[in-house]
Amino acid sequence: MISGVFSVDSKAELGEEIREEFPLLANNSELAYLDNAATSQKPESVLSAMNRYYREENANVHRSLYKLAEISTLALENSRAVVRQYLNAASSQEIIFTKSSTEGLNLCAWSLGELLLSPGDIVLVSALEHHSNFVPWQQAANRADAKLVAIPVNEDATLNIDFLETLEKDGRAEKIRILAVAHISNAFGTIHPIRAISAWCRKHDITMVLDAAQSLPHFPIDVQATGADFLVFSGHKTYGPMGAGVLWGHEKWLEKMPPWQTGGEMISTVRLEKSTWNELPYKFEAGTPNVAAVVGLAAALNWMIATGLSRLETRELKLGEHAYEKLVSVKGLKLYGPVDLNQRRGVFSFNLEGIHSHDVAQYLDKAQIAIRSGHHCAQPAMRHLGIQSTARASLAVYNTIHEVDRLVDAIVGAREYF
Amino acid sequence: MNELDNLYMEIILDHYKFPRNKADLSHIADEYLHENPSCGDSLKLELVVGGDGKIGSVCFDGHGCAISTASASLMSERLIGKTPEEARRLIDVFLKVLRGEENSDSLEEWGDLMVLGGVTQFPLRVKCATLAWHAARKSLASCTE
Ligand SMILES: Cc1ncc(COP(=O)(O)O)c(C=O)c1O
Repeated sequence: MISGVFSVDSKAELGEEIREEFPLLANNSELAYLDNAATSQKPESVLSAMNRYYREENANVHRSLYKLAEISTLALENSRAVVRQYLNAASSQEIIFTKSSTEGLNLCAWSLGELLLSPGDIVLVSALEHHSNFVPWQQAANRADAKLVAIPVNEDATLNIDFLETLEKDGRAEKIRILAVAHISNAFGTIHPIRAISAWCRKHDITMVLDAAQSLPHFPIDVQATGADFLVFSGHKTYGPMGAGVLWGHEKWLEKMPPWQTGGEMISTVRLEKSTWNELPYKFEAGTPNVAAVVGLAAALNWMIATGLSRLETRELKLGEHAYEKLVSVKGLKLYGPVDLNQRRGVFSFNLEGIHSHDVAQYLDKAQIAIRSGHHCAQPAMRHLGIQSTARASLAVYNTIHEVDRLVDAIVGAREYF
Repeated sequence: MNELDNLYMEIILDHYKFPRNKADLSHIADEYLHENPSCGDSLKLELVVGGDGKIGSVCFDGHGCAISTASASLMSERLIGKTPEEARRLIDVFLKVLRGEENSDSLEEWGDLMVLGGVTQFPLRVKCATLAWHAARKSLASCTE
């Protein structure tokens, strides 16, 4: 059972009491945790679901016939069903459990790369990608003697979509086999126009991989409506535990793709000279999965549903609006990313004139405000925009207006201190 | 904010705002950049050994936080006038202290540099404080005597 305090159709606005559902936060009343783009905190219902799994249901899955193994297997497969429904995927066979977005993207890059890439082909990414959605493609391109091309970035950290036209005009569009792009930039919070991008991919027969690591925590996604062929996300950024992520892929592709990792569980028959592969999704799930984490991931999605997806989003939008208005009014603060709030979500990347982001973050830490500083695993993006690093505050639903105000006050304090 | 003042001592803030021996090193190719991969800070270092076998000048250039900039600045002052061998020994002691393998008392006779011993209480900042020193160690390794 999911211990949602609220019912799905409740219209009442979500208040600050939501914070109390997160034990770490409830036990640290002074902590303003604003590093949610790195990882979110986990609600009680997720922790107890995982705890219960190990206390009552633990056994290896898909292998043995005794009762406990059946219960454990059911816990795994029920979680898959929860994810399938949440993403509106056509079938559970399209839901592959990974350890994280990074693993899902590596799986795609290796397996899809092997299936689709030939010398002279192009893989298109954007210059705003997280290294996880950049380096695996760079390496896949190298292996296939193909080329990696990056959609450039505008001054306001949006993608220069006109570049797609350039690719059409100069003929390169015809050589693109795979396009991999984030839904939301982890460094700047930019929401990319993924429908337009997927329509363009259709037109040119390009397979599209969508990195939803930063979007799934903020709003539900119907994978079939995205127009993408693959999607990845990480449970740990979505109120779930570390150690479980999801790769969704169109069955037509998954069927054709070679396995990435091999070993137990993913085989059908093994002979000395040759093996055959298990059916989907198991073909891509070699070895014993992290069932407890998968159970926690499903519990997190259930927690969001039980709390009310639109209520979560409404609360976050309000916090985001408040943060944006407050931050742009701070003297000497440069806020990066789109000016239009409809084009950004969750992430506020900034610099204080003359002060390094590390020093800002260190100062905020003393005020019990947790933010990230650095390049946010997006060096190509930083280089594109000519910056070394930024300070980044990122929101989740349990943050409060007061915490945002504390952030802004402390930023002003840092400006005076250094 | 007392604990913070232990990190950002006046000497550190002074070297951050007015770094010594910071120079434009754009003539050095980017492949000689020393980088802190976890935060993106980068630094170039130029170390010149004179005819007398001593380090005549140490210059640095780059982007860094208060800790890494001050550390580079303080280091440059310290290394000038030393032989490469002496410099290597100093660097090794400093890195050991910052890694927590040697007591920070070892820095006691180092004058202003002693303040960097405080960084050991901020483990996530150790990489900032050691960037320039690792760079110097590399430069010295390539300078044969
Ligand atoms: C946009 C994006 N993609 C991929 C990742 C990698 O996620 P993970 O570290 O969970 O594999 C992240 C994490 O920061 C991210 O923000």
